[in-house]
Amino acid sequence: MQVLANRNVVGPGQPPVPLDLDEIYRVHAPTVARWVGRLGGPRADVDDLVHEVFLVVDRQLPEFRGDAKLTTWLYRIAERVVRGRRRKDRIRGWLTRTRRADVERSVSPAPLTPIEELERRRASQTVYRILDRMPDRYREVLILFELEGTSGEEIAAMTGRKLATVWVHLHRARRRFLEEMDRETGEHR
Amino acid sequence: MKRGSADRWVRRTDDGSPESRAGALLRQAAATDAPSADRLAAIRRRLRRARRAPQRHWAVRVAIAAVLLLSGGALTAAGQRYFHLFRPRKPAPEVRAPAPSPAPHARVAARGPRLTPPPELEPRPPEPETTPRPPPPIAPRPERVAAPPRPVASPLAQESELLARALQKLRRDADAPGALALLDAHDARFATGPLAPEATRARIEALLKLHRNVEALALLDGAALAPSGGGRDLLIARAELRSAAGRCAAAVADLDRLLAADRPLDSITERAFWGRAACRAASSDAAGARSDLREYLALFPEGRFAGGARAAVGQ
Repeated sequence: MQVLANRNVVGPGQPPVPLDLDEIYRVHAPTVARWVGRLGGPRADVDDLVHEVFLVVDRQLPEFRGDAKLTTWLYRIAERVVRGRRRKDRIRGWLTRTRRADVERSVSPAPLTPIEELERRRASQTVYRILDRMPDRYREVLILFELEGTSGEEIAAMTGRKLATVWVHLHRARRRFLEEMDRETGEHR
Repeated sequence: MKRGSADRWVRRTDDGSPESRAGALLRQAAATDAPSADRLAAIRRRLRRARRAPQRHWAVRVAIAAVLLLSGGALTAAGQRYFHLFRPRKPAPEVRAPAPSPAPHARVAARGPRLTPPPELEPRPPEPETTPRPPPPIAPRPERVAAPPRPVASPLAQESELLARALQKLRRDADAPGALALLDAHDARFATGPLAPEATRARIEALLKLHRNVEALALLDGAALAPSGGGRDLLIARAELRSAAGRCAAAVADLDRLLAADRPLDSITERAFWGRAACRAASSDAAGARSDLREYLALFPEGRFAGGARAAVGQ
């Protein structure tokens, strides 16, 4: 792995950012894995996405000037990678609809009872089915706010939107979520 | 809207409102497992390999370009031949006496200088000898002796060697992407070879190691697996993947075969009991699930899922 040790970038009013891919991976890989897992949903291949994110990080690291926080920069890469993957999956899903519908990601046995495990998996699938029907900008804000527990200000910084826009998107996302949830439960009655 | 962390739906207590129901749903979806340190370390290794991969990309591109060039050349030749065959024949040209060929030295001169000597970087030291050396005697060229024909390995031996290399990569070097590349080469050369089923198994194993479960399941679905020997590994993997895909009936069929008579008391049997209990619970067969969990506890009281099984059966 490329090691750019001792290369620091100082942005305006920012502490030096160590541009060492190994170090960035060590510190941020769990967070990136969580982000891509949440943004991608239960069907996401988290390992593959984390791998892809850090390949992009490796490629773009020399261009990182420290204008944004490192986590913000990483988040934007992760979000772009997940969005691209979801787009590809949608296209693949149209092409191979039957197989895609059949196969979903395997969940390794967790220390839960079988019933709890299934319930959790079902809830997760329902949530992401609802989220997948939303525009990306609403979906993203709802995931960050409700699932990630990120504050509005942080979401604004991470996604490059105004704070007011974040609240508007969250409001609309929630409204859509309730509508779709009613539809889901209606379908399953 | 109230703007703050206190307003999060996931923190609402259940008061029957749509928001609290949505919060409960989101809470369950939020409880995902963090990737383990092992998995992150595996990704890091993969990342390191991928950073070395561009060389291979270039090799692949060059190979593809060569194949395209060759096939393009072949197509052009074939096309020319085709058009030549159907072109209306012209009358044969008059036979002329061949022009006298120029002398060899004239031909060489006509070609012009082929190579210019490279400029010398440093002046050469003066030659110590002034008298010209006699030219060395020209030794007669030895007769070229035909090399003995190399023994050509049989197709089966070649296929076996390729598969052995793939398995070595997969199991000894823990290099699943490398193994897949060799298996691709195998499929390209021996798609219908006698070892094709073994190659498919190796491919499934590699895909599972890379967590490419969708592709692995697609292959497993088409594989004939026996519930004994090496087939048990793949059978339990297929059952778990089918179960995760919500295909419980197909998963239970596999698990039934694994849990039939003569089952060894190993981790595969453990997983099979647990998986069948989960599938039966999902199919509203609570009694069946409980029976599986009790049997599991009887066989594996300290097993991997013993805690969960006890909690589920209320022990």
